[in-house]
Amino acid sequence: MTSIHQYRQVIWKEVRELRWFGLAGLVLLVLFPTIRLGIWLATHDGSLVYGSNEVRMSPPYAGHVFLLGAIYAALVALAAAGRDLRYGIAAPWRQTPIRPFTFLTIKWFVGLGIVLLPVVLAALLHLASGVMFDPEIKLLGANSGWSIRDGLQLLNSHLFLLIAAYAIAFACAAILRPLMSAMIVAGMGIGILYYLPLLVPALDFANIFTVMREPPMWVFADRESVRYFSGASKPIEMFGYWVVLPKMVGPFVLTMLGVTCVVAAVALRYAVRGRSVMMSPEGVAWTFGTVFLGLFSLAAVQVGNNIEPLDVLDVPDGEYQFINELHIRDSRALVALVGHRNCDTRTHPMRLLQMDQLNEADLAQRSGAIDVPARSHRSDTSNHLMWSADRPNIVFALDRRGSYDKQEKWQLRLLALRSYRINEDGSCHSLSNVNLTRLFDGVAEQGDSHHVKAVLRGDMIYVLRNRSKKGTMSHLLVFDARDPQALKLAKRHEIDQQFFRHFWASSSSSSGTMRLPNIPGLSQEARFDLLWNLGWRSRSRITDGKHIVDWDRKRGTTIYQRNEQTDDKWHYQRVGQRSLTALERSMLGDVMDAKLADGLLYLLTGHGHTNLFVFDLRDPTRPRKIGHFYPAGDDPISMALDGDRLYLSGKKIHVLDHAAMLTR
Amino acid sequence: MTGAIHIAPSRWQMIAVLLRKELHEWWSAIALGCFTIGGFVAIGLQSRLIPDEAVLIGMVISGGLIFPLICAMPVVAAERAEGSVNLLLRLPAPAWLVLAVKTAVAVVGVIVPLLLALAIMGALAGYREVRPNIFWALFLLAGLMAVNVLMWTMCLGIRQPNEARVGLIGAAVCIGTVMTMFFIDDALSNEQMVKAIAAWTPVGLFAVLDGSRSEEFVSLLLGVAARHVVVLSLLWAYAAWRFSQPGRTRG
Repeated sequence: MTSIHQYRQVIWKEVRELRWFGLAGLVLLVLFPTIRLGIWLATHDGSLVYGSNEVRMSPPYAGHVFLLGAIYAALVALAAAGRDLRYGIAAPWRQTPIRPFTFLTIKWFVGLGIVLLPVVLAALLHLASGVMFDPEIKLLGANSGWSIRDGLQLLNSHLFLLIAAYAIAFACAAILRPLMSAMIVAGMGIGILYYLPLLVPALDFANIFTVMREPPMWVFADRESVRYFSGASKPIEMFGYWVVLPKMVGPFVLTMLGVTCVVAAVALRYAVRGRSVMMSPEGVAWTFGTVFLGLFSLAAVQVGNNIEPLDVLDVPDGEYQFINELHIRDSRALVALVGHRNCDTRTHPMRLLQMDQLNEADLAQRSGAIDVPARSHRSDTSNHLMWSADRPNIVFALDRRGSYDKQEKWQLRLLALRSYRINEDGSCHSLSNVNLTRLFDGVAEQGDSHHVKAVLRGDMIYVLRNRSKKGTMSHLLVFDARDPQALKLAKRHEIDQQFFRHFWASSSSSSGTMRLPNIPGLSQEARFDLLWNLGWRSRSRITDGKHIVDWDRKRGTTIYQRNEQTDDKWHYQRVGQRSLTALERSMLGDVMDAKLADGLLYLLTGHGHTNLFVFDLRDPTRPRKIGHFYPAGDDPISMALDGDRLYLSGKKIHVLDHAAMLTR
Repeated sequence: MTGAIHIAPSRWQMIAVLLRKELHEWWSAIALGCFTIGGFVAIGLQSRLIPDEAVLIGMVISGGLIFPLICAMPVVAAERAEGSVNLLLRLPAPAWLVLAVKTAVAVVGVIVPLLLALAIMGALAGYREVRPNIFWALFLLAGLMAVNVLMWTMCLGIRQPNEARVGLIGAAVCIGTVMTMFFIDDALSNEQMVKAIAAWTPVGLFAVLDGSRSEEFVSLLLGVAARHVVVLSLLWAYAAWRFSQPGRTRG
């Protein structure tokens, strides 16, 4: 009969064998970050927040665990399992009173303890140092700063990933021979675990990537901090704290925990029976290399770049500034640049360049000539420009200015319609300034700025302030812009409730109706044009009047065709749909700009990096994807179409051949 | 009276024999490196899924760090694990020569995939997205790092009885270097001094990359290369001395 003493002996044997690993873990994950923290505190007045610019340091514990934790866990597991199992369980251990399964289980838990000891200690030190040295954090839960959130994340998500990494490596070392093969397989397995959706895009369906990379599995937070956790379920108040339990976490944790336990148990049983899998390290490496390149090739086929730009125009000082807006008509262009080399990150002066022919030389020579309003500290200004090639030297701007209040909520302070003249020497001066705040009877209502839009049509400028609340009126102001030095309010329409209304029963419905705004004196087409440019442009839809194209990550691209119309309503019927592959879906993020021209849909979208999707909708019943463009080294934010050329603008201007697309 | 006439092979014959043996053992690893690193660069550049600079950085990480680390593990440790090291040491050639041939073939083994990647990069992309000085800086960085990781891991692991232990030493070298650089970066406010210290370390060669943005790139690179020649020569001398003493193996 096995005595407690014998168990204790085995436990101590394992602890002795792994003691250097434990020490290394303490040095890497606890001592090193502590020294780095100490150096920071010694050189920054003993605080994690330093100076008037609020240079901030998060305690380095979480970073060390994230960078090195999985490597450390895998090495401990390989050492723990590989030592006595190099050629199956060593014969002496089969003759001891302790059963082999118990022996391996003790190995498993001692190794796990060695892994968890420094990680948990690092997490606790992370939390403690955040509370002690971050002046904005008074008490855990009272005001959760980033350091607290990092620490909590370290305690749950990183911890779970570490345990999973440990389990994978232990299982590999228990059944694979020689140890080199186990190391390679474990390394690849852990890589897949950490970067699952990159290698197995199909699993992105389950949104595992989101849960793994931003996984507050359980989070104690205060009311103000809850908004940081996207995808979280409704917080529950417990003992004065808010507990946030993201919806995905339950099934995800249970599934991964179950898989981990089953894999470990099977591996242990396999090893106990003295069986092992012989794999040549070279064979394993070749297999993984082939699989990796195969998956990479698959990705290249699905979302690889198959469009070559005709030209790429560099913006001077492209590292510091980008093109905020590009307007081009009949080769004449207006370029709005934001930022410059010595730009304070909190101010965004905008510079306007007008050129008869868009070219790199003019971009380089004439940039830096004009400054259009810089903004004050911690305010937020956006200028929506309106420009016509008929009067290329005149620019109108809807100027929105606001600032953040003490609760970090953005408030609109000023709304104005301005006009500028660009002179021959490249300089720019203001012509007129109309204060819209007064005309709209104040705009201080929160979120109002998103509902104020303007569009230039001929000599008229339409400015809409949309109101969605019941019992309120939307305002449409029409300005006569024939004389840019004196913008005159020509008409003022009040529209019951909100300006743009549509009747799509649900996002998956097969038909829908759009109500045109009631504006006397305008044709249906003109009203539809206003409806689109003043309202729907911000939504995930685009239209040419006859068709409405709608897109999202789940359903892909859906095409609706107008089949019936009355004076104030246009009815649409769904005629086609094109789903996205898993990899395409992972690359389709926020749509920054869209163009629909000659039956082709250009979607400028980004999920980390910007991509251009090109869909052929000329046969709306059978839409197909005909192109994908990755503007490497750049993240364009807008598009402009002029004749046969499509221009993508960001840090550079990428010129694509629209005519060539039509031949695909 | 008859007797066997023993003709000792010349040193060049021994080198040829050793080279043949090493190349026979290494060809598969070299082919694997060419396949994975070259394939990654070719697909990455042709599909343009990621920026060319990201492909280059991926090449630096895989070809300058991971592949040399894996290659360094079996150079001597595999001979020890299989017991063939004693046979090698009984050959009519000095121990240092055996190790020199092993080292030379290993260095060629880690450099060939990088040269292939360079050729692919030149053929498919050139300087279309990456400035010439960045392009060459990244390649030289990858080459220097590959040789450094290989030599540090192999030389410090010369006494280890199996590949796994050598791998541990390689991981310790890489992680230790990164940690040391973190400390130095935190502790020293003088950026030039941080770069100067980084240039001595096996994986802290990013000082070269920073220098590539200035006109002093060539002189900086030569200075860094000279420092590494000194460090690696000392390391290799230590390894050759240890290699000739098989009785002092650990484990």
